[in-house]
Amino acid sequence: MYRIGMKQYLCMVLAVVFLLFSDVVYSQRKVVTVITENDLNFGDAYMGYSTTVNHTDAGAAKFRIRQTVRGNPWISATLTLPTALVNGAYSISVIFDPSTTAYSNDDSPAGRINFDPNSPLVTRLQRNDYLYIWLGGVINVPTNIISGVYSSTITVTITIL
Amino acid sequence: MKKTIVLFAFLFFGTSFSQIIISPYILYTDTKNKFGTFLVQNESDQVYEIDMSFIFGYPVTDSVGNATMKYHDQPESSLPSATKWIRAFPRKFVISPGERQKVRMTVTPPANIPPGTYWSRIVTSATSQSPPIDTLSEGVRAQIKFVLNQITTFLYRIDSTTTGITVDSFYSEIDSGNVNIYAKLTRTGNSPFFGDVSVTVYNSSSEIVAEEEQNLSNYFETVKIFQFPLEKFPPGEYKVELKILSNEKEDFPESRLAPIPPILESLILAIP
Repeated sequence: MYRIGMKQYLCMVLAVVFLLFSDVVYSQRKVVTVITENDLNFGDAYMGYSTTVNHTDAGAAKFRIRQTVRGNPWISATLTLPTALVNGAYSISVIFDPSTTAYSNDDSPAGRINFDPNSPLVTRLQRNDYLYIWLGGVINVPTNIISGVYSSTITVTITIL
Repeated sequence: MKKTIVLFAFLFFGTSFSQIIISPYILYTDTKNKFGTFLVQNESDQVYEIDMSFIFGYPVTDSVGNATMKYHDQPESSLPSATKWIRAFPRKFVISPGERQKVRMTVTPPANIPPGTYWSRIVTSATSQSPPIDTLSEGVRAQIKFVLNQITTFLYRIDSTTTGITVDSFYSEIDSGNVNIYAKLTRTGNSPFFGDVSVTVYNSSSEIVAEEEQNLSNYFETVKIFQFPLEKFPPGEYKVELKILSNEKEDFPESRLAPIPPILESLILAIP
């Protein structure tokens, strides 16, 4: 029966470990990670009325961004926003402005900085630090809309400059 | 048992907590290796549709150092765009929770193009297949789909490549609350400059009173601003030193660029 020594055994263990997590290590090397922690949720809204979601509300969209690429680079976050949620010929207008949009390096209501979501947010982000973005909005529900699903798309683009 | 614990620990600490991870951040290719591998990982609990595209762009700054991205949908032939030469496979795919997809990229440049570094931006677009539906009122529901674009860099290099930085101007301005140090930097050679730029401020006793380091990705020209609170500077004279170091091998170790000596500049700052 063939027997292997301790050195050969350790080499095999190391080889298996390397193969098992080499992809994970490779992928963790220098990355920007973006998580959508919360979708935008307007909750109850009534025909003929407006509903506002502030950036401090639970219904605000929330993004968490982290980078391990460089020391302290500029990072750009661009939001491409709709003006309406659409269902065929019917629509519900939606407004995004600085009063309902904010960012911070801390996941806290205090210390947030409002910004215009219709212009790129460019800010510094330390390696391994977090950038949080909260996006609320205002919808104006007309009285003459039909039932159905009103939909639109928000595009979030993240770049390290 | 001990060996099992070590194995498990590695796997545990290697776990990602992110949603869609893409890697590497800079994909480097050259004439000796025209193939690159890009990894897309779905660390969420949702199925995503991934769509990859390419666009030529680079960071620019205004006169006071505010940075933005500049994109060219149809770059002029004089610009070093590699966008039209890149092929990715697969370009569109669906990725399930926990899955990883390797995307293979090849570059097919035209013949006889000059040496230098050509580049493009990779746009990895991720869309959840099942965006939530929010009930607004009876029969009226809102569905907002989020599309997440992450933009990374693709480089193609033809040797011989050279790069460097010329410090066009290095000056200070004092306002009511801050000391602002500006450096206008122009890239030389035929390749973008990747490195770090730092400013160190010494008082008359050669003690450091302020310092800051920033990364530098200079594709053509850029203005860097270093801002320090005025309250850090009692009246007097200070020496401000600028140092620029190339470190592209930290981003792509495959680089064969010759070492570049540090670029140094200094000025005297007088605080009244």
